Amino acid sequence: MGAIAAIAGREFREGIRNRWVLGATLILTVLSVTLAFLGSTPAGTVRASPLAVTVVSLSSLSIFLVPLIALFLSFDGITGESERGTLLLLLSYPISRRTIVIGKFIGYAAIIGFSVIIGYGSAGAAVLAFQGGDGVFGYLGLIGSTVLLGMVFASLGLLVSAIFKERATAAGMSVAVWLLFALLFDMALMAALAADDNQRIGPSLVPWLLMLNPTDVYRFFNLTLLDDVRTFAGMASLGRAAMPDAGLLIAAMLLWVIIPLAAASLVFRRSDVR
Amino acid sequence: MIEVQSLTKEFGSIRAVNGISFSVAKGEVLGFLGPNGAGKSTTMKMITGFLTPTSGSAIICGHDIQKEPIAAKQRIGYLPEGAPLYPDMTARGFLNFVGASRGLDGADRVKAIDRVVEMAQLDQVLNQPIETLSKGFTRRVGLAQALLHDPDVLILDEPTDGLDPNQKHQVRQVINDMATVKSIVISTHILEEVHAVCSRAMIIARGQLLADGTPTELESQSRYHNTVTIRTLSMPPVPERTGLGQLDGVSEVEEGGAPSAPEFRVRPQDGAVILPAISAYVTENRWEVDEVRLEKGQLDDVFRQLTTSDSPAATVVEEAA
Repeated sequence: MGAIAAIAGREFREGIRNRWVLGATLILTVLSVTLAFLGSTPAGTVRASPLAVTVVSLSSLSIFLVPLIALFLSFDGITGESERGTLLLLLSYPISRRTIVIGKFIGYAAIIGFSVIIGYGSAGAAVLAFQGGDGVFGYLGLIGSTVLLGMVFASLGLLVSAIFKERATAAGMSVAVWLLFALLFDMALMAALAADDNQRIGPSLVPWLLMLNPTDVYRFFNLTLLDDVRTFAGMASLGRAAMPDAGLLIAAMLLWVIIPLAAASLVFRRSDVR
Repeated sequence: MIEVQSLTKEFGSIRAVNGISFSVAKGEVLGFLGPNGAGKSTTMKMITGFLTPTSGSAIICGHDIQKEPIAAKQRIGYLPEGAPLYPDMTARGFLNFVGASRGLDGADRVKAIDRVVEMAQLDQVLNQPIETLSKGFTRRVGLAQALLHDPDVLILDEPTDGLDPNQKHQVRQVINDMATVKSIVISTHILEEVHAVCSRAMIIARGQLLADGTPTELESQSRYHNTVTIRTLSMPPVPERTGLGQLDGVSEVEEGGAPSAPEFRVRPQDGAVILPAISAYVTENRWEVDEVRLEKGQLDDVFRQLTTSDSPAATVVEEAA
């Protein structure tokens, strides 16, 4: 545990030093506060809770922004150390490669967690303070699931970093991963659904297909968890029976964290360090 | 403490290291010499467990680095080439990080840091970020991290490369101070390093071990081993100069120097001892001798002999590969 904590602590301090923590926190705070106030303005008319409106706005923002931040944080976790030569140093210590991967992941998760909790937390606190209303539970779900979403992409970033030996290639592949999950997957799925015309892909299968994309799992979780949010997000028409429950969605996101992390550890363990 | 058996590494069709075997005992400082691309770093990386050998093994204090990497690494201190460290950290912060990574906690870590700080004389820069340190101090921080857990085996990859003479002296002093109680392997292409710190040297080229012995033994393989150089105050007559080349055991006489201070470099056959015969000859012929020097041989000459592509040893390597 000492080695994991040391590596995680180093990553977090490095994040503070190179202003990743500050930058990510500032971006999330400014955007979330802005969206919270601009987005919740019409809440009175539709009688939705301001926090519920904020959840809808912020979850759409998170799907694009948080994966990008997490991937930028983690894509050179292994490749960068290798290029700077410090990986040799780390590997000379009596710690396993899995320990290095886990330590780095925890460091990135801490940076993401800190930024999201401060950023989204301050927006939620401001909405509650100035506009009141309920929906705190849903908002806490948003914060927790956003941290989880960041962890998923930190895990994917580490996998990219373990696979590709050059930093530039790893950076390019990270952008590809972001494009795939933030944009292309849903477009491809919609195209497939349109082409299929309810022949083979029935409505009951769609939620499960969405599980193949962690950003969809995140969106599903936040837009369907609370009645208030569901109504405002236009998801009320989806019958509860067709939707996986919150526990399953969280389990799916956890799997999206664990599987790439385990794969990163495996790839790293099998690779030679030159 | 280090047992290397038939270590081989292939990268595709290229054999970077070809069946190298050697051992290093406690108290030995082994200089691992070779030109760039000889396979030194690849061998070091296999010994330290970063690269998986294609075949062969490296045993560190009884632990196979491939089968028991954690146990083996607990006994190794390693300084990678160029001493890559975390530049943003202070020397103290970095040593704390290394201590934590090596499982040293609380008072043990503080004690270990105090010990290496004293050994590497880092007190004055302990709270400075590493990126602000001179190369010499950076290298000493690198040495300190390698020594933090008081390892039995120390592996140093080009420890003085790029340092100025004063900085080299400082780093070598640290190595010499612990030479008797550890097994140390130093990879280098700086031949003066061998004289400065090594009790034994190995020369490798094209992935193969070409020579192994004490520095004196290696120098004796030089074609200049036991060569006698005589400087005289005047030019001796031609017949006497010719006679010098005809003495028993003499292979060749090279004439040089200025006309007012001619020099005769007399090379022996197969390293034979020719000094007494030459001494008797110049005394007998009443040469006005200004200086007589006996050469032990030059390591760089042996290095060139063994590692240049047209050398017989290099040819053997090429054929074997």
